[in-house]
Amino acid sequence: MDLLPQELIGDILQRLPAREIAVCRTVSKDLRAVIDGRGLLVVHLAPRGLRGVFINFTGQDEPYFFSRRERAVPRVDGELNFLPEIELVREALHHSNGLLLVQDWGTLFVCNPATRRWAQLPSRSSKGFGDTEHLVFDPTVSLHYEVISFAEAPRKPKIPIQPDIERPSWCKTSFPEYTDEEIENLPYTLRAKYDHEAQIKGSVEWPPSSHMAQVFSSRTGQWEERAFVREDDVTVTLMDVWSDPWGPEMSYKATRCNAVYWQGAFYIHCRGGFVMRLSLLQQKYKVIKTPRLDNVFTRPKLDVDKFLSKEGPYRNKEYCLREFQKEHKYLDSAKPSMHFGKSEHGIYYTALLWYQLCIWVLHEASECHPTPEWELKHKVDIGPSFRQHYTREERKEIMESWSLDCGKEGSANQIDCGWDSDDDSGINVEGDDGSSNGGVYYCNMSRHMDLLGYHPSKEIVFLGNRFDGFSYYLDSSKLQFLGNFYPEGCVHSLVAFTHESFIYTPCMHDLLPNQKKNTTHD
Amino acid sequence: MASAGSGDEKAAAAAMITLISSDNEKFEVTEATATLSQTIRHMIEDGCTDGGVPLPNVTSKILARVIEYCKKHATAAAGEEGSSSSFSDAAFLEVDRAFLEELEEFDDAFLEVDRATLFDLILAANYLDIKGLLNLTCQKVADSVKGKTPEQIREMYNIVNDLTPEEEAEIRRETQWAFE
Repeated sequence: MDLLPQELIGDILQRLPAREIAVCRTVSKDLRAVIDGRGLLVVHLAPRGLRGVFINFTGQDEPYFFSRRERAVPRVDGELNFLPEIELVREALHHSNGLLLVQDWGTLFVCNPATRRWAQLPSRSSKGFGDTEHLVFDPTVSLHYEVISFAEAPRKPKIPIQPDIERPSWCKTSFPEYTDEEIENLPYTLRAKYDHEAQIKGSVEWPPSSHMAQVFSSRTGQWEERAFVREDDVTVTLMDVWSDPWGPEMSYKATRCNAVYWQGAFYIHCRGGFVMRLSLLQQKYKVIKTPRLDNVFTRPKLDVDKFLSKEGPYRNKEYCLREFQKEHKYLDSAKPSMHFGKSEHGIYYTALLWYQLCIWVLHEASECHPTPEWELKHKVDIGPSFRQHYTREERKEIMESWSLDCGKEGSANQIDCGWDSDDDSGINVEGDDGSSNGGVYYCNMSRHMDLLGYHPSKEIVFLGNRFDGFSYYLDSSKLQFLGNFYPEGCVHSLVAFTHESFIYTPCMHDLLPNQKKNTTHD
Repeated sequence: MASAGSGDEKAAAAAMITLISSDNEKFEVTEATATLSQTIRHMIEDGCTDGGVPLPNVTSKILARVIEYCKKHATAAAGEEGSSSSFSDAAFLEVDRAFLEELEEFDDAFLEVDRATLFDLILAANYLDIKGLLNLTCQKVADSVKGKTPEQIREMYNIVNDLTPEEEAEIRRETQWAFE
């Protein structure tokens, strides 16, 4: 075959299916060079289109898979039935190009819902409470994966419990440390001492110049310590981390910091207003500060007359005014939540508050821009579209094209091209309904929306309103209802809410072992 | 089947081109046959075919085979053009189908050659830019690899294994799924 020029060998090999190309790769150095140089295998391995979203709900003991209803190939086991029985609580920690990182009470699993192969990771020698694990898997580079875990930033110093200061009995039993309210009532000198200590400890720069991580590599099958060295001087301080509204103190409420693999670099969104950009091979990292959120949101206007107009036999004036004040208080106290992900133009940083979305796209450092920059690409208020949806009379008749856990019943006669938005036969809600009556919400419409994720290659945002899933097209401002994802067996809708979610793109290739449920991976 | 053409086309079809192989053998072919090659078509358009077209990369043995392929497929191409203008004629379609079957049989028989000839045909098809022939011959090689082990592929195409056993094992591990 060496008689033919590489170009023609490439032409011949590209006619082969993935398996045959992989076999040819082991024939000789030349053939491997042609295959790798032309990315002939990569074409087959690149993850297919978007299939659905894995969602962790609070109060539920396993993740759910919200996906389009149609039967498609490859068949995906969204319920993860191939994994060992749940020991206590199973949650999805991360997704990367078709592989899912799952945790069951401290035990980590990496699995592929499309091939039903999985591995149980060995336990680590040390694991901190707030450590966050991320999965790195790029089948176009290698079929090996890595799990990276960074230790949490040091915590803010606490005021030790003073034996001579009486605590309310319910605080004593529920909180080993002083609550915020209690701290406010502590003697001034004690608080000043504590503030001073926090300030000194908080002035330390973060992340450290050499940031330690525990890394599990499927190549070695072991955890190892790896130091990532910071490349420049950009940092924040520990105080920034502590004062992050979604910081570690609030971790039970906040979604995990998410991480994204994009063009050879791994980006991790961290508390304290920054993103770490890791070069995994060089073991280096850069800090990119996230956009400031000052004045990006417009507080919805409340019209007291609208509240008063609800006065009636069951609601007196006082009640209506109380409702008005409650709403006022809510709007004042609401804090934006952040989402980090990737889509058409790379890395997307999103802040959402009420029904408003602010979306920035990262421009990497280049010759004309020595530092990476965030461009505010979209600023939208989807509230009017949502209101229009929830006031539609025929709303109940809209076909639900997506549902929970339906990926498993596939038939082999349909080729999967990935969910492609326009083929869904839902309805579209366009434009403004003209009534910008912020504060008055319709039945079923929550006060805010959840961001489920981004379409990996198109500017489409997946949103949740309580348990209703929507897609929103950033270019055309079109809102589309997908279906309901209310988790079955949930006692009350108020108990469960969407905690975090991972957009899933199936991949048929991995090096995970084939194993039966009851065997453990060695 | 080419009779559906106008008088001008007939005249064009009758025009002859001389192809000269690397070992100086001359082949007279119709322009319709020769222009299946994009390379020769461009030469004709540029008006540089007087005195014959030298093809220093193609031996007479291979050129003869290539011309055999082009003659058959030039007729087929003319047939396709004819059928598209009168596709409502069921009888004509029937003839067409029979001809396509015949063409497939011709292609199968045409590919019954040894590996060295097959590679020479690929090189010639690439040089002369004959899409159909290149597709046909490349597919033949690709098909021959299907279902074979790396060792069988090396044997078939006289490829020396220059990978150490360790390297081979590592590459295999990278795509373990292909060997299960």
